[in-house]
Amino acid sequence: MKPLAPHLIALTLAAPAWGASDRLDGWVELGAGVTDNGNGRFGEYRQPLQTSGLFGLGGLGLTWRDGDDPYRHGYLAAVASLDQLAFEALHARQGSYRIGFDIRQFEALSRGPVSTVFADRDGVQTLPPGYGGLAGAERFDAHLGVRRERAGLDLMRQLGPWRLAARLSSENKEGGRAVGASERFGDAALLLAPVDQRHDSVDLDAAYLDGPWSLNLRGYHSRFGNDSRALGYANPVNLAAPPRTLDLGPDNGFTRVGFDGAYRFAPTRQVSWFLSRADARQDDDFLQPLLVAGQPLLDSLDAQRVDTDLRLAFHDRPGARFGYRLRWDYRERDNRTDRVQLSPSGYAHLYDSTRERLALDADYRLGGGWRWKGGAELRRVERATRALESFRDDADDRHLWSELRLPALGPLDWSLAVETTERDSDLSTARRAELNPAAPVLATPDYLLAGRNWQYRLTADLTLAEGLLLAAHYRHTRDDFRNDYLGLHGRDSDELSLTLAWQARRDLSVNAWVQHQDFHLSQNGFEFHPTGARSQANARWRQFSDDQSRALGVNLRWQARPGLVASLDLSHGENDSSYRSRWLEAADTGEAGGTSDSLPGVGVDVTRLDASLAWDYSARTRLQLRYLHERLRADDWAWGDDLFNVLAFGWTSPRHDGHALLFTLRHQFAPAP
Amino acid sequence: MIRRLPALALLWLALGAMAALAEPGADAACLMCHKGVAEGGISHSAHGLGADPAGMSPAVTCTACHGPSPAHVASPRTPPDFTFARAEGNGGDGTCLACHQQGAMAHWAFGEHAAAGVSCASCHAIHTATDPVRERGGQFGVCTDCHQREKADQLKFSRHPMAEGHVQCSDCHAPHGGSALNGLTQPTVNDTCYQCHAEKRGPFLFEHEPVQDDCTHCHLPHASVNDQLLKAREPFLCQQCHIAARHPGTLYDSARQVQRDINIVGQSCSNCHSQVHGGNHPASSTFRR
Repeated sequence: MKPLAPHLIALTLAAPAWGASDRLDGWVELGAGVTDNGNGRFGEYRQPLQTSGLFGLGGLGLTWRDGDDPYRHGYLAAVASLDQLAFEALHARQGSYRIGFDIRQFEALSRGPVSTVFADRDGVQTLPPGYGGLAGAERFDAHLGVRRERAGLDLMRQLGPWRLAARLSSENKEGGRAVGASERFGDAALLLAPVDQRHDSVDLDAAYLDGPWSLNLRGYHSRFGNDSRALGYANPVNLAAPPRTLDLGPDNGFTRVGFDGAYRFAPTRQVSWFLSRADARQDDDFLQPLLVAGQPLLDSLDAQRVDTDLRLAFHDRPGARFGYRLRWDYRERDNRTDRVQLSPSGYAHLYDSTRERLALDADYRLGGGWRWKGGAELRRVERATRALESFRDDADDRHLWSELRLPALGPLDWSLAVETTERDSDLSTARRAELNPAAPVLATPDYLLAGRNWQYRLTADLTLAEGLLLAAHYRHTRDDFRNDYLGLHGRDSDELSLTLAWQARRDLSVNAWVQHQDFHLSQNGFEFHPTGARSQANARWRQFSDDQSRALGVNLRWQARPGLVASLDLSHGENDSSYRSRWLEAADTGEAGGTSDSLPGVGVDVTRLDASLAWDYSARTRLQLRYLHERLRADDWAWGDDLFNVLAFGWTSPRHDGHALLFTLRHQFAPAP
Repeated sequence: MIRRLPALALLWLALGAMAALAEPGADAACLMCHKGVAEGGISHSAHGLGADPAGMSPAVTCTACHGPSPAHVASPRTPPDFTFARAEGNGGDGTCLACHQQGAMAHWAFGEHAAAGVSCASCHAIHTATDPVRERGGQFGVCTDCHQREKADQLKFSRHPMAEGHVQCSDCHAPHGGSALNGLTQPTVNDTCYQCHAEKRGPFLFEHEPVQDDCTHCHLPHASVNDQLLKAREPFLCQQCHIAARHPGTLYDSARQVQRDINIVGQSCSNCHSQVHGGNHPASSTFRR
């Protein structure tokens, strides 16, 4: 990747010269930071782009306004901060035109350092000379992470009732990611696959506004290009396997043309619509040589999909107390790819769907502080699959919801809400055959599973004293699937959040919050081994997942004296997951009985602290000292350095302590006379 | 007479102010008292420009939004004709919509935020040089004042980098309403995700139905206690559907964890089935290469 900094400097210096009568103000910021990161890591995203201990911080912002026409202005800013490099430039006349440009660079790291058996990790990964297997193999350190560089150009022109706008965007992604590869059962390996992708898009919008009409003609085109289309590799686990190639994703393109708008009969009555047609294509050629010998080569592996969207909505508020909204949506996903045969047993697997939704919702102010909102919705989804066989599955959802805001009880404002969705599905013969209890293939997916979902919410705001507010929110969700045999069996979650906002004094505000989430899921399986090779041949099991997430935080802002402000943002989160299972007897649907087992728990604790002290040395000059800390401890049995001996990839659970100390001086320029 | 001087002085100020309000540059009178507002930034923003010399934009003055407010001028303790803080629910939105009515604003009055009584001024700072909710680094803080769950989500194991502003709420959500489902910026969930994850857009020769149907069948959009924003951990997530003979139907218990079974450690199912988002390779009929 080309370094971004020279481009930023060049663009900054190329800013237009300002006229003598114009007003120019701006700011400059200089500083330095130091971090203890030994491996370039500080959290998942907030790691320094500069990986050494000491690094510079800087920024420059200039705002210009035309002395004769203050509606004409420009803006230019360049920033090198802890976690990103960015440049923005804008030239505009309010309500007339706008030209804007921005570019940013930032990086995401994935879980810290890894080790692999491959010394060469470019297009073809070959095993080192003399490699005889994982035992005693040399380890090579590698870096997992993706650096993104995003640039955009914004253009806008207002011509009377017309506003023409365009946004051109480009993103480059470079780095490496872990990807699995296998020859057959039992010889999987993780590889470090290069990421070298580019995504360009253009968004066009012609908007017309005149009287009751608001119309938008939109066009969107996007092109994705992958410069690392394939990864050749030698299997480090199965040395007898021939060299193979992984498909890292073909180029693709997407074009959408849409027309949406609204007609306002009255300020409170409007009809709106949205029509669009999109075309998605891929252009794949690299796999041609890989097709099975003896099979006729195909002219093309291209694929095409056409999406059509139609939406119509009518909104009306006949009076101050009552309003309603009626909506109809239709979407069709039409896969136009040929059902090609790619190998003796491999047919392309293609998916189509149509969705239709009709919804009515309304709100009514009853007086006396009572307010009701509610609605009903009908959804129908038809999903069709074309492979060796073709089949279609349908699902019908009926959704009802109601929310009641009650009169205040003294200092307490509160509301209650309940919603429910009932789903019926009409599964194809092929799908039902896959559920054969004697030899199941696929359980019914979540979105086709008949059952009922319930959701309850309670929201309350309690004013405890002047300047002291407690807000509470509770939500319970439950799915009751009509599915006792295989797949999802039950699912429920609880969520509670409390927030305390305290304006202690004019110069001191404190905000504290607590959040708790519980998520439970149970599902049934069937260990189908007719030969009895495994411990539990032809036996059913049930597995329970329990995820918990607890978080709390405190924000404080204290103006100790004029020009001196201290702020603190401290947050801590604990996430735990546990997994239990038990074998079921033939007609067993309960939780008790049977041989049970538990996997070790998985835990992730995160603590973040962001504390700063800002001192206004003068009306234009501010000094700021900022300290950042992140402590992350993940304990996950799925990872460990011993994975190197299993998957040829040493990858441990992330644990890190990051500290960064930043000092900056910011000076505000005086406006030009 | 001396005792009447303060009153006369006030009258003089009020008359002067009212005369100033009659002029195009009416803000001058307001700024006699509200100097801090100007220094705080409104003079640097589009809302402090006064009359448009080219006549292309409506004049944006204090009185354009707060009304002529003669009573307030005469007696500062009397509120202006209109104040956003005192407006109930969306009462102040009409003032903003008088100018901001193009594009997505056509849907504002009927959108989710308006229905919940969230007004323009609930999120937007008008009197400052920059509006935090329109700043990449500031938007998350504004949105999570109400959307507390998304704030806590940033402390989960896998997450979209929203706290840092690398992903903004408005990258995916249309806060002013629109015709798309679920308040999204794009027609569907998947189209929204493909804005950044275009490599998963396909179309592929081997499509994985739930992936093409809706990313949220498997992923949580904001954050998850599981890796890769997954709703449940592999292999248990995959086993909600894949239950066929041999390894998909195996109960992965502590014995297999101790054995370091490749179907449960590392990336679990994805150790082999790495192309779950779709593929073109002949081996992609089982999403392996």
